[in-house]
Amino acid sequence: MEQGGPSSARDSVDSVRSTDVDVIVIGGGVNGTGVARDATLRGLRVALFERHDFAFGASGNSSGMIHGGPRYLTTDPDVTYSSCLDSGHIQRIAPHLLFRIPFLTPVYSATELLGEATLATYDAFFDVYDRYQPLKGGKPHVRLTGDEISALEPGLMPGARGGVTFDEWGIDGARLCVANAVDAMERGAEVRVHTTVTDVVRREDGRVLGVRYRDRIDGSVGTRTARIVVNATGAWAPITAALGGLASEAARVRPGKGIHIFLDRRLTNYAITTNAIDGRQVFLLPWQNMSVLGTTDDDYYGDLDRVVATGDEVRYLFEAVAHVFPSIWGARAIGTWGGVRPTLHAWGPNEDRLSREHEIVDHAAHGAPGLYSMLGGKLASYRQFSEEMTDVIVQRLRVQAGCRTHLVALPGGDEQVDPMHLVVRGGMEAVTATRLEYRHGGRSLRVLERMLKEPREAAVVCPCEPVTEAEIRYAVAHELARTVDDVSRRTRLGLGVCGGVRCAARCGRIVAEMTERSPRDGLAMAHGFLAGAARRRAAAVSTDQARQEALTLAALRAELGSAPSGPDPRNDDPEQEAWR
Amino acid sequence: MAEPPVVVVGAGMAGTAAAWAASREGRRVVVVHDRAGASALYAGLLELEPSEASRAYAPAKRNHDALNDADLAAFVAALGTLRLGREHAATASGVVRATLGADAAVLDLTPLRGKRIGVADIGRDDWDAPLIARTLAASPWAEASGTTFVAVPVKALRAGHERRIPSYDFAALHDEEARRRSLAEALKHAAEELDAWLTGPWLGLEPDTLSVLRRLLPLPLGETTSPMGGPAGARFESARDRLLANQRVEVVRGRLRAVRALGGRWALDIAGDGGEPDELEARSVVLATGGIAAGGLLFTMDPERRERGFTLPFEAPVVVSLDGDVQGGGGSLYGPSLETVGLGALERAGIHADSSGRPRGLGSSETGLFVAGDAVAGRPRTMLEAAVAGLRTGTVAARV
Repeated sequence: MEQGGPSSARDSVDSVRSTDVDVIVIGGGVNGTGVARDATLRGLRVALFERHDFAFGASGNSSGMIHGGPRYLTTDPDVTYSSCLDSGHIQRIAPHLLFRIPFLTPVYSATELLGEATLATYDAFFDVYDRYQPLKGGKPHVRLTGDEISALEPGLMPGARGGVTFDEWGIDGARLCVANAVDAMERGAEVRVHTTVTDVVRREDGRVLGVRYRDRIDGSVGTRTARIVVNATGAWAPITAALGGLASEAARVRPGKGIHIFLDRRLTNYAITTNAIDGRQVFLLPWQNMSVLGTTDDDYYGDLDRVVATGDEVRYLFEAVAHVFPSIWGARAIGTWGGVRPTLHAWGPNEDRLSREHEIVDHAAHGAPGLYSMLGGKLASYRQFSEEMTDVIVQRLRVQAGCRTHLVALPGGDEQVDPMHLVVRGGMEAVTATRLEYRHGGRSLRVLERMLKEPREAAVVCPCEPVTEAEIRYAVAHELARTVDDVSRRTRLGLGVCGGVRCAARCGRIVAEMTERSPRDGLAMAHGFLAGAARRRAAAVSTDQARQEALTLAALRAELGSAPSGPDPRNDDPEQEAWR
Repeated sequence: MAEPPVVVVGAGMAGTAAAWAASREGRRVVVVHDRAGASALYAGLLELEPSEASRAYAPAKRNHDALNDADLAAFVAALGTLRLGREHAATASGVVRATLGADAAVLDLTPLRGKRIGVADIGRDDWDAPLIARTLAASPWAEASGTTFVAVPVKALRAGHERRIPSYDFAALHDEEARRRSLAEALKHAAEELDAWLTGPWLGLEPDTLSVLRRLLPLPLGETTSPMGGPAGARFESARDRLLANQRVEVVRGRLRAVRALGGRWALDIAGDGGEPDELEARSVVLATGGIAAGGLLFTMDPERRERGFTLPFEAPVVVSLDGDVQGGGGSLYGPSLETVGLGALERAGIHADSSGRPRGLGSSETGLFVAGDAVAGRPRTMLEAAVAGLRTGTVAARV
């Protein structure tokens, strides 16, 4: 028996015959699903396991930007170049998922001279960035006067000396993960969500053999063998490495918590950037049909499965943006996102100075040949990172196959659909059609097919977003949704102003029916979703939102029997409260 | 000079009950109110028994005693659109709730144990009858009582848009005589053998719609509970307006700005409907201004506001408390952190008062100021509690 090290040709031939798949990917974030897609496109047999759901971690809780990396421009222009290039690639393979976000940076300064100097610096900086903009279809920056800024964004604090605009792209990170995973499945990958890897199994000599897994909903267990196992679990990476018997330091990251607050509407036309009290850059950006206020970056030692924004973090962001956009205090927060960045580990620098780069760890160095960890990275560079990882995989498996993920469209990205077509054929309202087309691109026609076959499915279940019954059923049937939370991640069901009061229970009934569980399980799922949503909203409840929250609690109690309201010093059950 | 009136601030369930009780004592009563509150948005159930999910907790007995309260029975009869008693109601989520009384349009399931109940499948977007029927049939109540629920197709929509309009507007359509008849006909012609009909909250806003439908139809007929903003709240509001008019209670539309003691009397500062200030003198005052849901209490985290956290939108010699702690001052510029006290705090905070509705901390000479309903901290946020408290404080306020 050989002692680890690079595999011999004979060994790899044997493995081809004896393993279930070539590659097992652990993690359903953007890097995991990206690798699964890339590997299947190169003809490899792939299995992917995700403990929660696609985009459960950082991928679904980021700022939702495919940015060109202007922050690297002065230190590492190559990173800006590759970021912009890849942003262009993502735009071509998933045009439906990207939306333009023009940024506006107002300059306020004590004297005109100082303002002039700052503006000149910005101007020169973005002149350089403009050279990269064509790579990603971005527009060149514009320098504006104070009056022009007030005209464009009347909500900004008066007195800006001027400002600059620059162009970036927004994306729904969860949809991006789902699109990658669905493509991998359609190319033969086995993909399981709510399925946790309980062991990374290794041979006596350390070589990786495969994984054992457990379904966290039905409790079933199983094993899969593979020649390569990729740990793409983001901030969970050290935990996953420990499952393979490695020291957690073998896949060390420095988890950085970032929160976002979402507000009930598009408060601005431009994304506004400004500095927080500690000088960090924060922003208020129009994102899909709401505004996103972000973000923080703090070392995180808590439970990765339950990351929740605190009131403290929320107020820090409100204070920061109120500095240039005072009416933010009157805005209505409808929820928060909390995510943990899998930042590369370093001891010493403060969080903002940590590298956003990524690296691949070959655990052969730790006595576990065949096991790799993907560490670091960011949403905008996922495709490139996945390509690099898959290059390593094919090299090890001695397969000749180049990357095609920048050439082959993601599901829905290959065909343009006019939302008006959906309106005319399906009788949908225009906003329903537009939102559906945004999420599914060309595949919105498949959702339409369902409605034409079964008109009942045209019913709008979530009126805030809006989401139809057909789309919910499509997400369960074709996108692996297994809970109300899963449907919400895929469709934004229940994330609007009413917080799921009008749709969660019904969605739970539909999901339960389709997954052959009882109606009571469906209600329990809806409860779980509503409790999570209440927990996420609690930190951000403002004056106007408080009234709505109180009404929501009353409505839920009447409708479902109890209302999830988060921690209570004396009792968890608010219904019991009512009887006190 | 005429005797100053009893002034009731707020016209939700508590305020209406207080006004009715005070006028029954022979007093002149003025109700001051502005905009809809929690009562106008209620589900149609007066007091919920804990659901199966929380059966483990023993319910308080006090609320059951309310069913023997003669004043309450008289008030409910005067209102005319409610029913008192232990019953079961279905929600549109497919949950069976036990309640002590409901809007008269809600179907009482209690006498229908073991029966076969048709869920009218009319094809509205918000009413997924087959799944609702299946969920109700699988509820612990239906399983224990052997009750079945089946979805039965009924042609009740007259135009495509009726599929999507809010249930409130759809209910209003059935106030028309022709629509009442056609709905009853459609239900009669449904093929299935049934013992009762369960519909969504669509059976009219006017009380006579329901009596006409029930006369035309041989089977028991009723609704599920209403969603927020559904017809149950609208029925309450029109019943209230009739009741106050019958009692010759004077109604002022406006918002309370301040209430001050004035040598044994009370002076109220009102911002009128058109914005013009109005002064009212009262012999006694009932604050039935509601909790946060009604706008009778505010929660603010804006550090620029002088008052933060839980505050009242008016000046009065009362204080706000949460879980027995008097609020104010506070350890944060932004008010309490809801993620530590729980969102439920939004329903527990209110005016610091004893269980009979007397604000705590008033001077011994300051008599005649009372609080009722959701405005009181730590009291149950239910319609029955509000009615009972309103009747009690209204009576006492009239006797001051």
